[in-house]
Amino acid sequence: MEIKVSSLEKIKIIHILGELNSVTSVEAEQKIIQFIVGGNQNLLIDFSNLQYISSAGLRIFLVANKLIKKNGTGSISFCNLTGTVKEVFEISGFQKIFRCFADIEAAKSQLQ
Amino acid sequence: MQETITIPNKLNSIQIVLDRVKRIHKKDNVTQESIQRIMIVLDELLSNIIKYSFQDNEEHFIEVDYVFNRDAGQVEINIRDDGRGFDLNLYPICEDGLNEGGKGIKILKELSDHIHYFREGNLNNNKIWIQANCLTT
Repeated sequence: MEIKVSSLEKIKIIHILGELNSVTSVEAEQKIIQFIVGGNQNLLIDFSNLQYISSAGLRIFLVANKLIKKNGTGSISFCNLTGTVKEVFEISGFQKIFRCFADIEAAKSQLQ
Repeated sequence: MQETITIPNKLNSIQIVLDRVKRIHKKDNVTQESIQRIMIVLDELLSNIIKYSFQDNEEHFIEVDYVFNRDAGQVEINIRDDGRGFDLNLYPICEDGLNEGGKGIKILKELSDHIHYFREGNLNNNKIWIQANCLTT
């Protein structure tokens, strides 16, 4: 699992590469929470290079979302959900509670 | 194809099983989507057992029997542990998207074809069947 960060004006894009399971999610959660605590409240999570996500991975974004809502008015959105990642989002109800975009371009036009 | 993988009851050990399963399928034509589903199911079940099955601080071992039946296009997994045990079929599923608990069991049930729990002596057996679709050439 690897995390890369880029910017889209006021939005930070977090690109997650590899797998988000019970083992890799520990490090991913630490990095994302640090990022939020560091003042980044508007996040777009890019899953274009994520192979799969389990409930341990989903938990990261529930924790992160609570932290953002507690701190202010930021938000977390997702893009490039395909295959099993999309399926897990649908099963868990995440697609109903978070904004999900087809790709970064689609997110850009809606979030700015 | 059959393989048995034994791991201690530590969360980090789940990666050993996931890596081994990836190696098993490296040279066959099982689709990436099927392998990803198998990874998710293994992660959900093993993490559930490691977090909730053991009530002492002793080291326990978990055995994973992994059988790939190419002709049936199915994987059969039997996970044995000597913890307190639980039948996943009896657990309610979580419908609340914002609730942190219960999502794993819902995902596990949705991605599996069938789940069967039985106790044999002091061992819990969680047996799961998952589709393993192959690419057609």
